[in-house]
Amino acid sequence: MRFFFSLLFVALSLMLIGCGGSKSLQATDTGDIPDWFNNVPKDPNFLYAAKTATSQDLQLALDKGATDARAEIARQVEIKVEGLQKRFQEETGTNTDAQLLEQFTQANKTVVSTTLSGSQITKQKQVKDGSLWRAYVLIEYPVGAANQAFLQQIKKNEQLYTRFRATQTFKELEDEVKKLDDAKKAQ
Amino acid sequence: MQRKHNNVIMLVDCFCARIICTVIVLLGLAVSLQAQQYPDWFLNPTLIHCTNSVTGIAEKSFLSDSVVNYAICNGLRQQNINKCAEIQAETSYWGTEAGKYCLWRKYEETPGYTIMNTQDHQRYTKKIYKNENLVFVLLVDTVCNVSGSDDQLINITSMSTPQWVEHIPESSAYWYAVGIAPKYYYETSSWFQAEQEARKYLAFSKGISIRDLTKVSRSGESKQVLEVEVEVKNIEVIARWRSRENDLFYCLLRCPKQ
Repeated sequence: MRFFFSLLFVALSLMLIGCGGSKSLQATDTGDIPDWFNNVPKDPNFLYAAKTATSQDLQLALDKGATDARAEIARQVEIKVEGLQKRFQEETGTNTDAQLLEQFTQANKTVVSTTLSGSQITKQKQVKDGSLWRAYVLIEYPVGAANQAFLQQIKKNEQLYTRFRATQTFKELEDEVKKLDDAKKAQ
Repeated sequence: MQRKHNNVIMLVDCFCARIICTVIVLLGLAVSLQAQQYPDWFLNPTLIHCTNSVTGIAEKSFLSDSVVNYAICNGLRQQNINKCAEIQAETSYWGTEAGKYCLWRKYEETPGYTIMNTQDHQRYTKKIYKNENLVFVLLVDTVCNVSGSDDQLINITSMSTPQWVEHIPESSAYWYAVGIAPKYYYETSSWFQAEQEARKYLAFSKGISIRDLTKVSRSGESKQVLEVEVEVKNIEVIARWRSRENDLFYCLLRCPKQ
């Protein structure tokens, strides 16, 4: 009889332990994700990227997340510049001018790899994920800064600049950059 | 009779042991509570309305004078780096389906010594506070008028986490960055690292070069290289915080955009 009760006690204990385990796992999965990670802000004046990364080292987790987010922003800038390139080609009819296209692509690549100055971590959160640290990072990059950097790259190339400045796309780009400059002066 | 006498002795012993244990626990509690208290001018340096004030910290030791001097040195060293520093960083990551791995990391800070020499100020020690682990020193400019009243102590366990820890302030005139460090054996190491991490993020905001190569293949590998080489100037420590929840140390810095 005593053996039976012991067996029952052990079985009940195991069942209770099992119940406790699944509850805490659910809480960890849903409770720690920040709202801004699921709902990334949208603003026509800024590019945003939210990323998460894990590591045993807290700093490395944060750095990995921030790097991923900056790489994502670099890709967004590239897409934006490609859009400008397309509009430029349509306006000037340079689809077949291989030399100009090459120069344009070169300017685009330089922009993507060198001009992410102004990108800033605006939100971050770090939580323990088992034995690892999980970092959530939101990076913001002003569109005006990207336009300004692209314009500077274009101006460096005389041939490209001469063809480009007569277009409507160029005027729009310059207006956007002027807005950024005015905003800076007003501060 | 002898047995009864033994029982009484055992009871007295047990009572004494309980009292000793209670005293030890209470002492431990008092010590831990003291360790959780920080002067407000350390956690919120902007409360001191002096442009050239310096807060320094050092690990507590038996040689109290040396510790104060060491705290002053630490504070001045941190301030010199914040005044002007050239920051060089290079990091490379290899991304695979299984995760992202760091290939190498390099980070160097070179203080701008020329600025340090030309902008030297006459300062004096205004306040000293000691908690269980650290000695805090506040240095202010001779022209600065700070009231010498008692320090307001902030108990980090009784206060909620500041908003800036997650939502970093934004301004059109300043870059803001929050640095985070885990708890190390020496608490000073955690505070210094948190400040250094914030400086690193300020440098990243000022100018960063990123090269991202993603191979479109079955393995989906990627390689990312980050490079930074900028000079940051006039960094200010805005706030510090220690989270008891996950034992992390936070530091909020800012530097002018122009």
